[in-house]
Amino acid sequence: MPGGARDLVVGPEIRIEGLSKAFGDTRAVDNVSFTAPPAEVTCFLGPNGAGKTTTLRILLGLVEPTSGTATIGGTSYGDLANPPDVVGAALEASSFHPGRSGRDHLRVYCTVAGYPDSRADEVLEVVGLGDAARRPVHAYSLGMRQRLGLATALLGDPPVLVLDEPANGLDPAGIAWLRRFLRGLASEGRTMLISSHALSEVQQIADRVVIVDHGRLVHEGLLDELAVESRVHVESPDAERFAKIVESAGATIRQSSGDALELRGLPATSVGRLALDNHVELHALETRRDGLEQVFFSLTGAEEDR
Amino acid sequence: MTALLRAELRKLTTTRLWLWMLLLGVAMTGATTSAAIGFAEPGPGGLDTVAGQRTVFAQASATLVVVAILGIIAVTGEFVHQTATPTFLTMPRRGRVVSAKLVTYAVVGLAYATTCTSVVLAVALPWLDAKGVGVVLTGTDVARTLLGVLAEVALYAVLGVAIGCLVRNQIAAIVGFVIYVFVVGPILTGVHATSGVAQYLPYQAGNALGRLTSSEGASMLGQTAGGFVLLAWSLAFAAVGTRLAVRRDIT
Repeated sequence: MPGGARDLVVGPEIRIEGLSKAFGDTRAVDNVSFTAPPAEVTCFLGPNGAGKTTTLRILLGLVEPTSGTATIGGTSYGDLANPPDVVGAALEASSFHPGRSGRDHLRVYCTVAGYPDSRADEVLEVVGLGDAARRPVHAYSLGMRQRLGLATALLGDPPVLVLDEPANGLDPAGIAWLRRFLRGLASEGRTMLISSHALSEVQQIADRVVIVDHGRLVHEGLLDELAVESRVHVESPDAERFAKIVESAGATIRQSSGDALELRGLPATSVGRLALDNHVELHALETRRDGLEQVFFSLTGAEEDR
Repeated sequence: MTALLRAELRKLTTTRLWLWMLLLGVAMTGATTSAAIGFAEPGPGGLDTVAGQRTVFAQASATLVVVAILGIIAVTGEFVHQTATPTFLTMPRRGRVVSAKLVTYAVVGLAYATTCTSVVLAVALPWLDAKGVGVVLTGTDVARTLLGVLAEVALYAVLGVAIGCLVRNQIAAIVGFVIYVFVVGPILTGVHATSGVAQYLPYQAGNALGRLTSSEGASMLGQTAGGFVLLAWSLAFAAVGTRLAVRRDIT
């Protein structure tokens, strides 16, 4: 468990292959394939309604795919001997009876999975709900419900975690807690697949990203590959002349307006040297990197909708 | 399977619903037993007749509505509160979850019926004694009536689970059940043209279990046959419901 001494687990790989799901005429998931390897945090990204939840629910045996397969270590969820031993999942923010205490909720599933009741108290402590254990869930805040969902996922101390929008409803402190918590779980070697519609929430914990939009896979790869071409921003009263100079040196002008230039293809050091050599007066020279949000929007084409 | 049974029992006992429903069942049984004795009139169904006393001792069947609704909520509540998600994540073989609920609620129905039968006895025996009415039923007759009601109530709990599987919408399932038991069932049974068929429907099949005497002119199966017919309806509803509704995508 996070914070405690724990042997490394090597989680099995999650593999989605050619997965499609049609609801009537709507193709919620359209031929999506990707893998989530062990010991890494794979973030499953896309705007709301992109098909993330449906994909996760198919993976977990709750929704029947129209075609394709979704397996965990080569086995489909429904064929796992005792699924909570292998996969912990937290889906919607509130799948609790409002009149049942958090502790009793967990104990119900301990009973089914064959874990001792004491396990319920352990996971409540792990997610910081120890004090609220005996309170009915209707008295829980949304953030507490998210934590109870996480606690449910952790009951079997599983090597695979599948979390759908775990940051929803958390305040900034809660999101910071969640990041540390998920990092800790991943560092123990687990396979982690975490969906989010907000890249900024998961940017700091993601190793890999899988991006879907309108049910289709848009991008799969390491977070670092997604990046993040640098641009150089220049301000100069002589911008027009300087644009020609840097272009002849191999840069491409991305945009220019008035005194400002934005260019790619040359590092800031070379741009500065060119300005000095050509006696161009500079008022600003800085390297800018595309934010991941911008990369995300350019991949999904969601920017126009905003 | 025992783990699933214990989990279902745990789901029931960790909210307050079971207590309110039991109190409701006890209150209803107390009321109907009192009415059966207090408003009894002399005649063919009088308190000093076999038919009249069977009616009095069968009053715990009033609780069948309560346990059937409890059974309906056992299934539909999983969808109302979205606990179907963790339930089927923990046990993806959904048919086994349904089976566990059917068995659990049979036991719960028995427990409710036993409690309510003791209410019947606690009200009826002293009251009949005070009225100077001797028990004319034979020991076998009393046993068949009381055990028949236990079976009837237990099977209605099972029927409730089965209805919940078939009709996932909680309100629709409860309203539909109540209309059947209080309106459609009695009409079909009482009308001469449909009475012959109605004895094979859940309402009159249930009556055959607990009320050994049929109401005037209505066809009624024997006690054992009635029990099996009611059980068969429950299993059929549960099987069809599991296939059509419970196996549906949980979104």
